[in-house]
Amino acid sequence: MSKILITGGTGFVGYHLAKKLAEGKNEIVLVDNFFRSELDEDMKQLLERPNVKLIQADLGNRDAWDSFESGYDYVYHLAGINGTRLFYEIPFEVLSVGITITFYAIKWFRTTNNNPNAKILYTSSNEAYAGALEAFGQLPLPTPEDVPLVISDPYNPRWSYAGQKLIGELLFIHGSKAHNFRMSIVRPHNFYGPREGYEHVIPEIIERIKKRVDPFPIYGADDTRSFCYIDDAVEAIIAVMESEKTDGGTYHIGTTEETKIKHLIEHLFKIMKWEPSKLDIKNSPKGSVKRRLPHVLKIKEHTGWEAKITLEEGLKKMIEWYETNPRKKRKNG
Amino acid sequence: MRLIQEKREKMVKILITGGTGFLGYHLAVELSKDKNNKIFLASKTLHYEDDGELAKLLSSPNITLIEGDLTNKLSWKKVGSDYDFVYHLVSIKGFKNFNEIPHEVLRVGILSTLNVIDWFKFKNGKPQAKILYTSSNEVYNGGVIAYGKITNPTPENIPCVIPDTYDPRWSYAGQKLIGELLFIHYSKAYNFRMSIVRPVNIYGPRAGYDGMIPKIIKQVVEHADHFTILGPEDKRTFCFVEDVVDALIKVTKSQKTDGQTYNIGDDHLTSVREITELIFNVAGWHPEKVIFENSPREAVRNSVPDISKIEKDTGWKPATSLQKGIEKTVDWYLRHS
Repeated sequence: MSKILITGGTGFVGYHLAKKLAEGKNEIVLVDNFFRSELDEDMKQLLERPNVKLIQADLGNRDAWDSFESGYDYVYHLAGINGTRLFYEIPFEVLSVGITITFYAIKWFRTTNNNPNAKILYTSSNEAYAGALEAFGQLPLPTPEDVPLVISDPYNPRWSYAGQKLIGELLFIHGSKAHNFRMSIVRPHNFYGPREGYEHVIPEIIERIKKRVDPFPIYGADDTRSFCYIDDAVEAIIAVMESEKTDGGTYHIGTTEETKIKHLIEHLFKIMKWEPSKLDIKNSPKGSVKRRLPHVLKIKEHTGWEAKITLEEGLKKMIEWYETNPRKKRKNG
Repeated sequence: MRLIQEKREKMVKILITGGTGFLGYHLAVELSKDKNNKIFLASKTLHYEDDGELAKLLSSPNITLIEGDLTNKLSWKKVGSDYDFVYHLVSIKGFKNFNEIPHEVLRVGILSTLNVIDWFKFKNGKPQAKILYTSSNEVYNGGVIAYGKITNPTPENIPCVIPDTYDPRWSYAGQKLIGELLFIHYSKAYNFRMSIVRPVNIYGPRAGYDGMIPKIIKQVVEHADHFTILGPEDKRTFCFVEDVVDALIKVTKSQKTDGQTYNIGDDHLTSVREITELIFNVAGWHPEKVIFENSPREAVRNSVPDISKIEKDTGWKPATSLQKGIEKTVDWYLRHS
């Protein structure tokens, strides 16, 4: 039996990760302050399991960490303020919260947790390197882990999220070497699936299809992403965590299948059995990158993991969830 | 009573974090010349063994030392409030430290910056006050190394790059980069006055013994038999510390500079070989044999800061000739060896 802590445990990745881990003989503690997530039906259902516990706490408050007990085997440090809208609206909070809780997480992990064999996993982001394209017009595709991390313009609030992830990586890398603790870093690439909120590309398109918007707007039709279904993603995160070979390393998680936004939308039209009479092709959203495609050979080599679920399959499951969970008025947007 | 009031109105209260370090010391010396300035130096420990000059500075009637660990929130209570100008200089410098204790370089830089911002906004209690953050050209040097591209002269608005997250050398750049983001976005969100400066290659008296010029002087002082020079054909700019101090004060006092980032530096390139020979001439000693070695790490060569923005907005440009600056520097090191 493993004792597991997940910070940001009620968010998109945290919820799915907890659900998967709860299937095993694990004791799971989720910590969250419900800044963006909420205690919805799915979450309530998960919390009914005897091996899942929720602590509602503000991780930016140092004292909160004292209430988490100790002796965890695995700590998934997922907490952070995500969502492009928030990068622009509250860049300072995105930065200060991300940095502060990462400091606290590391300090707590190597002292209070008091388990020398324990391991901590940090979820960084592709945002940490995405600036290279805008700044230097070059980024190898597929993108390997060891590319430079770039903030193309410190004054652009869009890079607030990237900034705190970049510094989080440095804190974990150099902190773990100096204090000799086990850790891995992962950089998720376009995870999608049920319960990912209503402000990401796929949920927004689903909403528009449900509303029968016609002409149908397509933002950045020829931009590409490689979409990774959340069940695959969660398996990858667990695989990196539970391997010893991955200690100290950084891993990209995603798929190698590149999908144009217009093809994604065609998939969705087909699954949802509706098509507009006219398409309204628009420019990419502000600050959006043209192509995003991770190199995922390193994780495969070290853990054997690779994505299995096809885009069609994943989208079907996702749509099913969004059909029964339409957008409602939420406390944070 | 009236006299006292007028005196109070003229008094300018100034905080320098890292105030006993290389740049902090010289800044304090300059600011202390104005008797209306009341200067507080906040520092964890004395960065150097007392060379006599720090003690002299601290004995000035308008200088006060506040000892405390600035990464610890509690220390900030000692700092007090009501400052007109804050110079946030504190950080762990030196390539040796970047490589040996990167986690401390990161921790001290980031936590002291988070703390100073929080204190400045919520505890200082002076809405018109201004804070200056000293970043570094290290934040963009990585772009040259990662992409082999150099915009010369280098303006302020270029990308910040960490070429390799695992290379501890970039710990200093990382904390400066995030410091810039914190100052920029917090000052906008909470509406306070700040400027960011990126000094490039500062030299002068009392700069420790880790930098290039002090290392050369040290070999001169020791009359080293095997005089070693690393990367003799690498070219760099050199900016004398008194000029940098002048720039810091001008940027801080100006209103035009609010919310802006400025390069500070000299825009003339000098090769390591030339600067070494200049030091020999000034010191009046030449080694019998000089060993030239390649630079040990990827050095950023031939990079020149574009200083037109600071000149346009404040009128500042470097005033000290390399000859004069090296004379003052060599003189200090000869007297303190």
